Amino acid sequence: MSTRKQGERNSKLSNILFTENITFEGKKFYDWVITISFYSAIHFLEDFILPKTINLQQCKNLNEVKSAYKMPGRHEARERLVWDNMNTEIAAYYSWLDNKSRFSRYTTYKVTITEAQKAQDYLNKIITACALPAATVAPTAGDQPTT
Amino acid sequence: MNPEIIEGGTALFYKYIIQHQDQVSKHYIDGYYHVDVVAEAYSQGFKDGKESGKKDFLEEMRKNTLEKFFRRATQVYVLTKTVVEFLNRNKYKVDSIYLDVLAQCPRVIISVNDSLLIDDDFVKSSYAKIFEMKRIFSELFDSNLDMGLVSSGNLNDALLKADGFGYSENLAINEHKKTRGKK
Repeated sequence: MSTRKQGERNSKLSNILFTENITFEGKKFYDWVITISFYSAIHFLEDFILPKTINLQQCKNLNEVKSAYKMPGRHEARERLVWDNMNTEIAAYYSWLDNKSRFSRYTTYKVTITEAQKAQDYLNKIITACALPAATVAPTAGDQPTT
Repeated sequence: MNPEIIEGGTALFYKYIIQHQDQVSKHYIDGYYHVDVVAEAYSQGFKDGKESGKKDFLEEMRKNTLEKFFRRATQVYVLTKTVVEFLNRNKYKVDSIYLDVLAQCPRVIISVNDSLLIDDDFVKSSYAKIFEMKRIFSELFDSNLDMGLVSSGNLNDALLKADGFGYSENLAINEHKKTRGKK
């Protein structure tokens, strides 16, 4: 299955968990809505950005990105790839999904409907951006925090 | 150690890293192997019997490792405080910071009110600043800083401690004290 197809598949599952009445002991799977949204975002963004030349190396996949950036982990390499190639809005939404997904254990997996809705919104914005020409969603000088 | 939040400041952070410096030699720091591994390798190749040379070498290794640890830990703290100050300047309140400076790749979690994390403007500006700090760290140390945001609601301090976030500051309490002191 292509990277993009995997992203679409995850996006659909995240949406089903959010909108349909699927529960366990009366509770919806909002924590999984966020986690699956994050994994969907990963696939859309990798499919959109790669292949890419980084430090004179042609990178077709994340392992090559990791090597080109000389970074120890795939997670860090992917985040750098996103911030280097997408505007602040999209990159920040990606980092938000990453943090919400990775740190939910520290908040005992308690996720509100508002946060799950936000995950869906951010994922949809990422998907929309990944359908646009790369130049229109690339980072700009004005993206950097000023103060 | 109790999972209590330490009321903070630079002095307390230094106190913390000094108290934990003994743990540093047990970790792989900033591209150096565990001191014992290097010492073992050195011992095997050490054929001329100069015990003093071996001792000097070990001491030098220990000093280097500690120096790198202090430099790196201090930078993690400074970069974290830079984010906190940036958010404060933009009228966003930070509740607490949690630091794991002993890990091979240091980690920082900044906790804020739940409502901020669903505010698009906050999300954009805070993550942009955080990524700027991560970039600075990786340029300085050829290593990565894992820094992120979490909601303060339902935050499990004990779990954070257990996961290695050994240093924390409750900035909400400190801010409250400062405000009270001004009256």
